[in-house]
Amino acid sequence: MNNSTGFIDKPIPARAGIGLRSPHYQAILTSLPDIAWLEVHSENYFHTGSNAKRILTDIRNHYPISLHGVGLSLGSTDPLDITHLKKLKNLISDIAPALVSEHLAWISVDQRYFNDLLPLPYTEEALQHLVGRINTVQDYLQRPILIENISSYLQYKHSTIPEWEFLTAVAAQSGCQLLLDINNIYVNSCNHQFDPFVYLSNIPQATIAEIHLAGFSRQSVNAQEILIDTHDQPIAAAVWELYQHAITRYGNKPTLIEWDSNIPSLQTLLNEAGKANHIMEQNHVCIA
Amino acid sequence: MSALRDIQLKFKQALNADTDMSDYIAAGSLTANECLQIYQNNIFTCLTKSLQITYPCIEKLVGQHFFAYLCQHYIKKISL
Repeated sequence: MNNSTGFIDKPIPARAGIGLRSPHYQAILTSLPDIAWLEVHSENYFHTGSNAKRILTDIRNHYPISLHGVGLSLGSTDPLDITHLKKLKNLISDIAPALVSEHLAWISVDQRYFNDLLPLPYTEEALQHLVGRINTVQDYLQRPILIENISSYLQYKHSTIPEWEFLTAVAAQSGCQLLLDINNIYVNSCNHQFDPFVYLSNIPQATIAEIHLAGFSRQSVNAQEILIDTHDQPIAAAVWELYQHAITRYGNKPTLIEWDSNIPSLQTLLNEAGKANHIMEQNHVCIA
Repeated sequence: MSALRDIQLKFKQALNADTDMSDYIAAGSLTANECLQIYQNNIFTCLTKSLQITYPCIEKLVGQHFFAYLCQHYIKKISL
């Protein structure tokens, strides 16, 4: 069992964690399961007086926490939302998370929010725009952030840079680290027909601070099968295989099991985390 | 206007009014408009879930089918 208040300001270990979702609040607080760390969506805890915030503050005494943002719209050409940034900074101050992350995406333009992570064209212009925004955010928060690759269902004609090069350049030029979502790489590799192992071989090990794993669903569009990043089912065998390759290549990394829809029992999430831990333990044995 | 802003504004317009994005989206196994429809579906699904969570009594009163129809029109009119 974890020690109360023992995890504040401690780094997240290279073990598996799970996404903390409201159906499991009580079970986690009551049973304090053996899980290395927890991740939450930052925006769900912006309201200072909310029940969710109170519960997170409590849970935070027992587990290292990662804050994963979905609403900053880093890639948007609208001005950065300073109110949103202030709320994030306040949350960071209250929770003292070990990691803070956001997405390589835009979700709003012209003051309209789409509740979806939309892809950027991979151009030099978009790269400079994103690097400038990440620098502003990191300066404001006074800490480096992690940027996550997203799943996508289109490719822009304007793109001139492969996604892995774009992502690597973002990290190199802004000093941010990467949150590598293995499921998103797999989904994109099927949707856009590239080799996911080539993607992994082009990401420098030192830039990766966290890995995400999740389940996808299959959808038929005009008789074509498209993979959709739905986070509503177990991690696919092909994604586990890619994860194993990533761990062999990069070494063990903090790995999150993400499940956001049709949320299963806590035990199911812990079992998925157990699989990730097993792969990392096997890797450790191989290295030793 | 920057090329990036131009793409984002065109994307917004296309999500709302189904305008043609074939000058911006590369056709692969799917056409530009089919790609766009995936995003439209994702956004509708997400916002519909939010409305279901916010207005569970209305959904019970009018039924799942009509509520989904109502959401579709409401989201199109108010959100995009």
